[in-house]
Amino acid sequence: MKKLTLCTLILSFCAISAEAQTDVDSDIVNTALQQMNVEQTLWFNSTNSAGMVFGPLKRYNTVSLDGEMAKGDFKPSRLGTKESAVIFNTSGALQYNGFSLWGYFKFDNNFTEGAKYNVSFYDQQSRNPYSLADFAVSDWKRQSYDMGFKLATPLLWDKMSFGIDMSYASKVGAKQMDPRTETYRYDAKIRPSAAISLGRNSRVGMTLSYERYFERNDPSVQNYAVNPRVAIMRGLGFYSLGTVGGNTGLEEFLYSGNRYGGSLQYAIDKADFEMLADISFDMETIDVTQNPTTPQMMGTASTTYIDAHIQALFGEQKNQKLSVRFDMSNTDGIEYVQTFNSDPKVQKWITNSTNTMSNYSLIEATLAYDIMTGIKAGKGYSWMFGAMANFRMQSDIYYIPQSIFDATGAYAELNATKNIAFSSKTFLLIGVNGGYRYSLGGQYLYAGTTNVDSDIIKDFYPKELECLTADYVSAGANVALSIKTGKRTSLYLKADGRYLKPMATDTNRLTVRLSIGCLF
Amino acid sequence: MKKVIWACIVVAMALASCAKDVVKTISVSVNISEAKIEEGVPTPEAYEVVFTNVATNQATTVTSENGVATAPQIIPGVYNVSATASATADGFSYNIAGSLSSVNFATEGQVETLEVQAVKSSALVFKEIYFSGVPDYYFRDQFYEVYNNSDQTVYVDKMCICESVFATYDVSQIYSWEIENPEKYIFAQTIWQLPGNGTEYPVKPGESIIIAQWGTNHQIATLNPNSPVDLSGSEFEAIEAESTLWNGIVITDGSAKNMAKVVNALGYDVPQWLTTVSGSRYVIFFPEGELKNSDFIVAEGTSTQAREIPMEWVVDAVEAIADETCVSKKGLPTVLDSGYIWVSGSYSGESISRKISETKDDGRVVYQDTNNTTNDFEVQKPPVIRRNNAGVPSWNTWIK
Repeated sequence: MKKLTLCTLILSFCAISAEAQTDVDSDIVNTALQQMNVEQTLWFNSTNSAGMVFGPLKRYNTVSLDGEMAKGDFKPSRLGTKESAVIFNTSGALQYNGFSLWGYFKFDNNFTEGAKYNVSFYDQQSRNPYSLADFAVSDWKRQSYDMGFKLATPLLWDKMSFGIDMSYASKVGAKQMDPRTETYRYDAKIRPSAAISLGRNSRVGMTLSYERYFERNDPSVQNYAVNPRVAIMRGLGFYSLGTVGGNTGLEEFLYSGNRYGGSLQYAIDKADFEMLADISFDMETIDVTQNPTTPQMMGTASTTYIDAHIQALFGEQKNQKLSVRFDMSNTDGIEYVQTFNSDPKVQKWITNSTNTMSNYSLIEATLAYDIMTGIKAGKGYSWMFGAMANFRMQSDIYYIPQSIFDATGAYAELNATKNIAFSSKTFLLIGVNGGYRYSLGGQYLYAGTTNVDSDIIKDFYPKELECLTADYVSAGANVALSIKTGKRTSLYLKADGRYLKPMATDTNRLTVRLSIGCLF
Repeated sequence: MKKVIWACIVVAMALASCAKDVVKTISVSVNISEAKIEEGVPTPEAYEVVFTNVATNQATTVTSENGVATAPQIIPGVYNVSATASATADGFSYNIAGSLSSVNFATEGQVETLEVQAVKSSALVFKEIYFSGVPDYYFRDQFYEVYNNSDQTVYVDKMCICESVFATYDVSQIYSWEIENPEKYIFAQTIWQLPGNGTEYPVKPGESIIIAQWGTNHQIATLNPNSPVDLSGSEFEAIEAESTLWNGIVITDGSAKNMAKVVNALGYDVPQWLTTVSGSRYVIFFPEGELKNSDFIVAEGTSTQAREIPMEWVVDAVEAIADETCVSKKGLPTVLDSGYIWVSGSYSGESISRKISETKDDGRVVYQDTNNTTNDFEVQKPPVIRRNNAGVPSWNTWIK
């Protein structure tokens, strides 16, 4: 793993820091050009990095320092009522001797206030059924390092390219109140790929994918006078109460996941039309165990993913983009029937059988259309208008006693952005967006006979449902000022804001992000 | 190419939706064997049988018919099963009970055999046990109330009290004791014994004795005003002499009768008797003769030592576990206690108390005693000494 990390780190920085010799006219000197660079490079937005040889990113480097803040009670319980983050971002792309390379590095330090029902996960929105939930409002501190690169070889035999996409993220989080936990997580991904040209306009690609996820959290208490109870969750409100601290308190929880899969791509590339279809299939298994020295299986989440993403560029200067995305995940929650063999020479948990007790299903479909007008070299677009529609259907079931959690909704959004050039060096990007989410229904039915009056049943799941089934309006604005300070250097300041207001409750959620950065 | 892509989608969808090994409920039974019930003891018509899933603590209660108890539609898993009934004959009350521990019910129609035994209801029973302590870290006020549940006067002289030990403190390793037929014993590392010559400490029907860790008023400012109890009127305290704690507190030797630490297999000396604030396995018994404080039994593969106590000596036993995750690692043999109970947490200021079975015409309370703590006990806050007006023995002249 250390070698993988080192390799990823080196190649990430190579991409960011390299000085490539490319056409000055194509330099990315403002945020609109950078946005077009990423959005109009279809292979870059696919799972196949080898295909970047057919349409590489233009050379760019960027480094930014971002401040993020989110506030408000319109949120699932595991998110904070207030969240703030400082993020250092850098990324870059280059072509060198026919190789296309893109890399990134990100450092994220964030602080969450007022979160609940999570003693397990770095990821506050994990859908893993097997977790620890406590009943105290608590703060969290989190920090992550995330790095990766995509590489495509030159076109070999005038036909074919190989590519690789690797990333590694190391994360640590600490809950700030009893029962507290320190959670350590890493995610590693490797995707080798190949892309083949079939004549002048058609390309096909294939990608294999392996991802490794490991998270270790160690619940503990600072106040030894109180050994708080935590819910050992099995899904949809079914849980047992364990204790943190004391002689028989819970031991370390380990989440060990492996995800295997692959994807196929088909692309058409013509002068006025470009299309890429990317279909992937992955299988993931996350085993949850307690106590590394005497492992007790707490459950397994076995997930199948099917994703399809079709992107098309068309129109004058390929100024229009249509994107259709379909993502489906289907998770089986598997519980273990175990007995402890107390023979002094054995002393271990023995698995007698397993039962598939729950199924979590999520389908999401998104249709997006963007059109840019007034595109000029060295400036980017003048106007950009966009529309997006999203459909989300969550359907979770616990088989016996049969309990369900369903939430279905649709969201539509319109956006417009104006790129104002004050001079050849100064650009101002102003954008607004507005959307509406309409709930198509949802319900939470708990059929268990234990813990029926607990906060998990009466508060946690109802709040999840309330968030996922709320009708709400969304309004946002963004502004970015870019000033060219050198031949290929620009400084920029960006501000983004988004406000969500549900129709039925007196809650809201405001998210603001400020960035200062440099394109070079 | 389009055909290939569509074929891939179809295959992927098929793989994602292929049939899964989804859980199905099963019906299982236990045949209740009454072979071990002695002649002359009436057999009950039916038993209340409880199937408890040790992973989820979900309990299914059924009544047996013709000696068979069937649990319909349970989730396959590991279960504890207990059967209880009561009967009376010749003026004696009998608990007829038995249990199975950690049975793997995996198949439809699975049948197991559960043997029940008849045990005369004990005259002396644990009535209330307070072990959890209060903030901050105060546990000197632990007490054990023992009640005369019969209609005859009994003497508590030389009665012993202990915690049975079955595993390491964190229950990560279950002990295997190096003794022939270990299933016939329970094991203790420290045993405290009440004084007396055999007729010195009578306890009349409806009276109780309080065995305090320290028989003093714990609510005074210099100890812990959060403490729920004044134990200065206790009959006995697990103290041999005055001692000073590491934090300067002087454990005074009060009016309560001192007990004797007759067995100490810990390998080091602790002047008081402390039990864990997470809950333990409490046992009272009358030894036949003097207990030996040497030649201890050793747990295989460890240096842990303990004194063996034959199960027929045991008068009453109660198991308190830390929380429901400990159900799968029960410590007391099911013949002594087929159940368990837990409080909401350490230092919660909660106790466990025995439920009332009936109140006699003369006002004497008879408590439920089915040798199943799950059925017989409930959690109380605050702990109360001599709850439900239990009587004080006449020889306790120091109670205020």
